[in-house]
Amino acid sequence: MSVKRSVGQSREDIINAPMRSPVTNSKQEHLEQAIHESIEEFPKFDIIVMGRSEGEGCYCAVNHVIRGVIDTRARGYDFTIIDCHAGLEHLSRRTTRDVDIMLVVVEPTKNSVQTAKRVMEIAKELHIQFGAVFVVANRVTPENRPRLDEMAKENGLEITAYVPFEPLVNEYDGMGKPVSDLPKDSPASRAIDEICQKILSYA
Amino acid sequence: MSAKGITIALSGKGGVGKTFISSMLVKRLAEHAAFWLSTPIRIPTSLRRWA
Repeated sequence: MSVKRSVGQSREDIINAPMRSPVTNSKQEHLEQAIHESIEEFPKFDIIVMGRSEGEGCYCAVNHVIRGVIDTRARGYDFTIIDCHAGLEHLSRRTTRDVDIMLVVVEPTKNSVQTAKRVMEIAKELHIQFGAVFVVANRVTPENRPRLDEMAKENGLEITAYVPFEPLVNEYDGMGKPVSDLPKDSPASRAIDEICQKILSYA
Repeated sequence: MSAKGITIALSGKGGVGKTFISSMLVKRLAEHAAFWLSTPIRIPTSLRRWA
C-alpha cells in the first residue's frame, strides 16, 4: 500500500508559505482541499497518512483546521480508526475528543501499564468522555500474563482483550510484508476478531 | 450504530503495537462489518503518526 502525499506535507506547505500570516479563509480552503486530496481510496477502506511531526513554529491554527476536516469526513464513514501518536498529547490537544471507543494498548511492561493508567487519568481530568474504553494487552504469553494481570490490577485497569505474542509480526515487518496479512487462524488474528466482535456489539 | 458511525482511537505508550492492532482492525472490521451490516463499508484510517 502506498500513499502519495501526507497531511503533514500539506501542512508544512501552508506553514512555510510566503507571508506567514494566520490561517486565512483562502489558506483554510487550500488546506481542506489538500486534506481531501491526501485521502487514498482502496476497495474496502480509505486512508489518510498524517506524515511528519511538527517542526518549528505554531501549528495550532492549522491543526484546528485539520481536526475539523477530519471530523467532517469521518461522518461519512461507518468506522474511523485513529492510530494516535504515542503518548498522551492527543488527549491534551483533544484530537480524540469525539471518540466512541478508546482502545488503550498495553504490553506486559510496567511503563506501558502506567501510561495506560495516565491515559485514563488525563481523560478524566480534561473531562474527555469516551463511549467505551477497551484495554487491549498485546504480546501476551502464558509466562508474562500473570505479571501483566497483577500490574493491571495494581493500576486499576481491567483488561478487555489479550492479543498473544505473534512471532510472525516481526518476521513480516522484517520482510516489509503487511502485518494485516497474518493468517486468519493465528492466535493473534483470532484475538483481533474477538475485539472486532466487541466493537460491533457496541455499534 | 450512531448516524455518524463509530470512531475508534488507539492510544498507549510507544512501541506497544498500536499500528499493528489498528491495521488488523481495519482489515477485520471491513470483513466483519460487511457481513454483520450486509452493506459495503468504507473505513478511513487516520494514521496520526507524525513519523
